[in-house]
Amino acid sequence: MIDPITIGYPSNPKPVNPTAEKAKPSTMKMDRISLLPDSILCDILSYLPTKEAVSTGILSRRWRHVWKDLQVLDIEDRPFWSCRGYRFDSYVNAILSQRSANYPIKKFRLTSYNSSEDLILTWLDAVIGPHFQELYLFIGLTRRIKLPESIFTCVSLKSLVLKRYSHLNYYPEFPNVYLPSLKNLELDIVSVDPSKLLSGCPVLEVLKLILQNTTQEGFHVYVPTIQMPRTLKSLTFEDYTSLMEEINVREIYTPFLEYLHMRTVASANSELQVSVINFPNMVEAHLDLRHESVEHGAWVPKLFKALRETKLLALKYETTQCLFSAPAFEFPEFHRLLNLELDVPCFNTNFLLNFLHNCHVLEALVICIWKRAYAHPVEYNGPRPPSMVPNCLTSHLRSFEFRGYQDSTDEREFIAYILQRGLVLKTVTIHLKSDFDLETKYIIVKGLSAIPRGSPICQLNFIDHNHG
Amino acid sequence: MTQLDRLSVYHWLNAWCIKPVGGALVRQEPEYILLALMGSPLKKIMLCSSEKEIFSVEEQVMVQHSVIINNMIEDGSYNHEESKIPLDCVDSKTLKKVIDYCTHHTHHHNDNQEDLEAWDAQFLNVDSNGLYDLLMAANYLEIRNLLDLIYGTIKNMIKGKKIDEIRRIFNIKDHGFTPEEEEQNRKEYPHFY
Repeated sequence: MIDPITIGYPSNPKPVNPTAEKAKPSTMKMDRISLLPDSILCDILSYLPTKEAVSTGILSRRWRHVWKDLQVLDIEDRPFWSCRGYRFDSYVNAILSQRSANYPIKKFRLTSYNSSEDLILTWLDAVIGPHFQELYLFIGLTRRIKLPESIFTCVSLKSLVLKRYSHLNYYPEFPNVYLPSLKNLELDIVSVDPSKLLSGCPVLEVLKLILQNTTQEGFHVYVPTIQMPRTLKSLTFEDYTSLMEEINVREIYTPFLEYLHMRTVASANSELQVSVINFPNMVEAHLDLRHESVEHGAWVPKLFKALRETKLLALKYETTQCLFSAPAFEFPEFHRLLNLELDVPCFNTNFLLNFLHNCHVLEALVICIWKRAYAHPVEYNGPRPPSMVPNCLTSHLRSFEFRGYQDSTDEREFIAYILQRGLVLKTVTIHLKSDFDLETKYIIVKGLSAIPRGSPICQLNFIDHNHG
Repeated sequence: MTQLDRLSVYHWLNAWCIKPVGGALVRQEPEYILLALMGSPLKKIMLCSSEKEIFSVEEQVMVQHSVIINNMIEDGSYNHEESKIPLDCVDSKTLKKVIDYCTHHTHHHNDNQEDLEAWDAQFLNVDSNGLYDLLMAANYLEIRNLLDLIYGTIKNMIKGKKIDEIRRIFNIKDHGFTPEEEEQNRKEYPHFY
């Protein structure tokens, strides 16, 4: 029987000593990992950061060339900062020149703070090709970079991520774009109109788009209209461009949308108009919509209604404030809503009860009263709620969480109402403010604990937010 | 009737859409034809290890996990009457574990993530020989999620470790470099030593 250890090291045959063989303990392990075929070893290495994968080249002769077949490169320059002399650039050059030409790169992930723009462009030129599928770029440059145009016409590209406000040297818009395989796009950009890029992605499903606005360098790009690609299933959209005296139109006509995270900031002088259609497949919606002019927020109630099929809804307090002050606002019926997280500008029982009356199957409710240094009172102009108990309270609501509890009469009565009418409640959690003194907290806890509970399994928890 | 014969009869009946129901033979509706073609849960296949031991497993389970077995069944090269798939590269101990993995993940695919991960961790609690045998089997049968799981484990053995540690863990006794080459390696990869 051949000693398996000798296989794979033809240049260094190990002499087999028969007596040593007999003395070999039965638990001796073989170097089986080196017996694995290159393709499997390479698969394993593709899970490691490239720096570590390349290092395996010196484990033994057998491992020398395995990393060179890697089709995934994941490199960052941070581990090189402590080295004397900046060796990151030559390191990347060495990897790209030594690696196997038979195995084209499929995924390239680069995080670089110091490499020059020219060098980064040569690296990108080396990897972009007909098999290239994923690009992730985090470039911490203070100046602008002009990505090679071949990126925007790469037919095999499935994912493109440009992180951390990339200062792209396209002013004011992208070159021609055609990305027929792109499903995932993440853009965090300054002063570039993304419209051409968005319209060049016919199968895009996941989009994260952050439009920063900085006029520091005198570059301000007016992005009058954005049309979200119709094929989207997930949209994360942050828009900070509405700060000048302009009208910005955003169209979200995406009937297949399931996830929406939206954050917009608009000044009093500008106007942000968002138009939407219904979203019948919505699963999760998070809205953080801020503007200084309430009149300009008229689209918020329409967006709210378009989300009525969602299973989870989270509203930050300025969004809720729009609903408070919207004229003739009526709640849509939320047939599928299971999870509701509401930040409210101030506590208003009528608003909350009206909401609950339209959430027929709600299982989890979180209310947070926003504590602001300067609170201007906000009126709720809606109708009085019906007198009967909301359906979700009697048969669906399992958990209720109250943050920013300020111990007003209205709040106490509301909690009592939930505790008494919530027949299937499992947990109720009240977060106590840190500026209550110990004795006040004690009185609050004692008072709320004494309220009779409609659900036999209801557990009441208090979370104390102490400083330190 | 031996088990083999019963199986053959069952498949023959299935093919003709006549099912024995409480002793009587009942002609089935088209939906049952479809069910039979898609692989009803009762349908079993036989896998034969390198030690000629036969394992019976639900067809649905293996089809869901192994690309190789799925292809064999789809393109008809697996004949239910001959009824065994020879797997000469996989020994009985490893084949049993692979079947365990696939069966658990099919039957428990609705479990929550933590429970599944805990089960996976327990499943991979084997010695290094066992791990490599599983890896070779998962690679041969093309079971993607099992492969990824094992890759993750092996990658953790490499990640963040120094060269001496890795050589020790993988029992690389003879690296085969000359002293000059080792010296060069030390210079180029100082962080690794």
